[in-house]
Amino acid sequence: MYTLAPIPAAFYGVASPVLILSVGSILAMLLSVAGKWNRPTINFGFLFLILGLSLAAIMKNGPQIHTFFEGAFQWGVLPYVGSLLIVAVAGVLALLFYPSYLQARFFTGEVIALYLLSLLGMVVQLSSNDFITILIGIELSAMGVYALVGYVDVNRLSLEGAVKYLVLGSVATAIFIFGVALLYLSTGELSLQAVGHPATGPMQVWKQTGMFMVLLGLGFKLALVPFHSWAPDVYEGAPSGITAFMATCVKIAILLLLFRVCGFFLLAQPEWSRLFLYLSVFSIVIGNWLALVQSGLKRMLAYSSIAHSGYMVMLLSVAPQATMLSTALFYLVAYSVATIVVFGVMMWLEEKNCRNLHLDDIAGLGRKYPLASLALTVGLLSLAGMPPTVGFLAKFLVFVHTLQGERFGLVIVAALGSAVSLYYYLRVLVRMYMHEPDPISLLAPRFSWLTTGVVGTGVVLVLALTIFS
Amino acid sequence: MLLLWIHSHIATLTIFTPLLVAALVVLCPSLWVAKWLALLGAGACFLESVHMWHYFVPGSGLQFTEMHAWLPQWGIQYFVGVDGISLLLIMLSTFLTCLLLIGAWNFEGKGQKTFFALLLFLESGMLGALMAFDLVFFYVCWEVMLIPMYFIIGVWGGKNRIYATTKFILYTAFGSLLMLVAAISLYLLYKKEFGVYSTNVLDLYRLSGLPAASQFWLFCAFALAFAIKIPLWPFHTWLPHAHTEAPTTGSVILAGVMLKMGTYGLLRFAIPLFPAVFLDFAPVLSVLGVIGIIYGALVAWQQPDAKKMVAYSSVSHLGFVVVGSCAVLHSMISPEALTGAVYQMINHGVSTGMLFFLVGVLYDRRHTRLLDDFGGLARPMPWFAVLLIIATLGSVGLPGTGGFVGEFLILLGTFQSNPAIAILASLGVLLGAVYMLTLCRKILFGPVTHKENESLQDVSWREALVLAPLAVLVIAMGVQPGFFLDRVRPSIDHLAKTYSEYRLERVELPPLGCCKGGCSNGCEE
Repeated sequence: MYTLAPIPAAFYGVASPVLILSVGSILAMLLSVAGKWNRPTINFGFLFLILGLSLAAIMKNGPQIHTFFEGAFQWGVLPYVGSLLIVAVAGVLALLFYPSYLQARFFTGEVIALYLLSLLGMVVQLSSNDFITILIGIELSAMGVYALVGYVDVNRLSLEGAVKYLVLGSVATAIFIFGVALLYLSTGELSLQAVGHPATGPMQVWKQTGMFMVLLGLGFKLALVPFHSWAPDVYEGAPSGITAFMATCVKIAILLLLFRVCGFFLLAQPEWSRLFLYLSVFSIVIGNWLALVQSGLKRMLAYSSIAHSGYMVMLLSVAPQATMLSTALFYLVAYSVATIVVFGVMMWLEEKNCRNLHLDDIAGLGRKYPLASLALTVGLLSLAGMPPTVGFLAKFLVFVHTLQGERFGLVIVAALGSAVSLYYYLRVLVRMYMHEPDPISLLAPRFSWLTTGVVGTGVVLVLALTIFS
Repeated sequence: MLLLWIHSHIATLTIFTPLLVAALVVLCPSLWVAKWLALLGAGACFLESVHMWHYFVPGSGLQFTEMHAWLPQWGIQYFVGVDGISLLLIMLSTFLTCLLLIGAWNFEGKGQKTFFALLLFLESGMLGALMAFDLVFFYVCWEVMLIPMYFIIGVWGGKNRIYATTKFILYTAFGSLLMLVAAISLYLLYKKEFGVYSTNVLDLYRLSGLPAASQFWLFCAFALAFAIKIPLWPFHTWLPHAHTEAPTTGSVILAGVMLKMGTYGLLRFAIPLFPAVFLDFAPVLSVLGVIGIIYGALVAWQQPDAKKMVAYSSVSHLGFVVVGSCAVLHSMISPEALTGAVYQMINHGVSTGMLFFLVGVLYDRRHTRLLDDFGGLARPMPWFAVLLIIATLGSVGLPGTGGFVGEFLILLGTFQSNPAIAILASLGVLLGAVYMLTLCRKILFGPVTHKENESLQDVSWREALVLAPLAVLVIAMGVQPGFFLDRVRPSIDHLAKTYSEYRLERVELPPLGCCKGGCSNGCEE
């Protein structure tokens, strides 16, 4: 089945985003040994050159479907939108790194290489129809992120996070591979469509087991409850920018992959949607519940992101419909914009303090930095799903979709979960606006045009997307 | 030309003027300019609502409508309009906001600009909720109201403000999120029946003929959200905290308008959308309302704190509104009771708002609200005494004040449908007189027990400017109810009539799929 075929010329055009990212990451590695050329400003320019080129290449490809190598590389609507979102979000996060205290650490050749490699992995895993290629993509992005967690800012917490992520992430990958092997055993195919094909006789069991393990691996990567235990430690240990990268880009890639796999799988076996029902109920309830008692901002956001994964997985708990993917994408966009706003403000506040923010650190912030607090407020309200932010509209559409599948209980749980979540988001606002400032808790950060621009645009988007979407 | 344009967009302008002005107020560098800007904005908004009042044609249904597509693929629109049920509440909101800004003019404490901006933001939210005829837009405004109120209580409130404000927002959010689930279910039900998506409330009214079984849970969710907001006993526990901790301005707006959102929602959504279930639930709601009346009155009686007393009196008064809305006789809503309920909403807003202002006046001078710290204030503060007595009489419903008209109509309608409820409710009137007169007596009469009370300043010109219009309103609503009710009556009669028609004739749903062509208004053809 896998013979070396001549590479068609059209491939280079369609695969240009992937090619640009891979060439870029190799060049970035060279930059790291370029001596005096290895300077943050140059690396910054280089990173944006590569990201800009790949964005242009993605846009040039458009959403048309192209298939090469029997589906090992397949471009289409989902790769198009997904890669666009991922690369754009990654670019915005890199912008936020520039004014942060990690500027000199992040904009080095090797870190940029890792950053580009993990982006490459995400684009690959979305633009393939073949489990082997997908696996390579997942591993590539995971390897990059393992290193980014521990390497960008080296301290005890980040190393602990990196090791935990590495060990548990590898376990997840192993489970995923085992699942793929069982699928291959039972259907004799490695394409995504294979999960939708019926297996006969005794193979039926192996196919189900394989599928279960594939979903388990993806659930691990997504930190769905009960596979969530790594997430808070890793999110807390990683530098904030990398945490935001995991909460947005990595999550977008894995979720879209999950939606893709399930698009085929749930059509063939709709009864499996019950699995996602349980996963989302657990993630929403436990994620929100544990977020209630956190005093570190990033840990709280880690649990809240678990709950958000739960809201998104709600879409899979009903039979696949035409609107599933667009709703998921809308939710992902809404969630990413709000996350960028929140993390943008946090990274700005951390600039002089070089440590994770505690709830007490932001006491009285509303009086000290009214605009930053306003941005944080808008971001958190959007995560909480309060109107008039886009978070509300996203949640509304998810609820509509789930109720169309008549999962009333699940939607009620989700609605009550978001009422509970309001409490911990509001706790931040209480500290910001209703407590007296603590003069020594936080060193005053410098003003930065980049952060202001990014966060400001994010706030405008959070409000404007509600009206004009 | 301009006037014509204003006339044709009057509802939108009224909703968004305060929001726009709020943004300007925040950005304005000078506090003095910002304050005047806020007042001018609120004044302009009031004038716009006066314009609507003036051009409102009684009996011709929904007016000043404006509709734009918002999310067309989901059938969600921006659709606003005014009818008789919302007209008075709109007037009340815009009027009270103007007075509130004057009342908070010499504000002690930080962030006055933000405070004024939040008040205007809140006004926008309330007006949006009152004018929305699209379920999603209504929900957006309904939730948006919470955000400024949350900050008003939490930032400028009393000692226990954080607990109070968190409880307030969580209680309300729990109710509203369940309502959101019900609203979406309703929306999908409409899609199932008529083949198109729509959140237009007028479209959704056509679902009212559905069998009671499929409406049961939907009604429960809507009623719960509204019951929490009203607040109906036993969902009232957030109210005393929120009221007591809120700054005076916050209490006034909370009592004056925000609580009415619950009863308004009942009249606008819960009753016409689910008439069949409402019929079964009306006795339950009436009983809860009566319990609220008596319980609120008894608890208010025992309060040592003047503000808490007024807060519990709100529970009692809102109970009347619920009883009035639920007076069902032979499967018909009594139009008298319904009129009384609508009137009582306005009346409670005016008289209780005034009472909160007066308690605020005392608090500004003495920084205490305990009744025992006062006594004999009638001598040093004669004008204050006059105003407090007018507000008290309005609140207890003395003939000649608006309270009498409202309560009388409610009791009249209720007595026909259920004498027991009416008798118990009139017990509440009696108790109301007891505790309100106790309040008056303890504050105004007897000897001056505290030395510092002897030299208290009477109401200032600014305070008089706030209180005098309210005092005039309390009396005007009592002697000239026709002036207020003439514009409202047709809409109320219409609500009562359509409801009874539904009950008597069992309006049949048009056959499935008749609207597939995309028409969303009416299937008559």
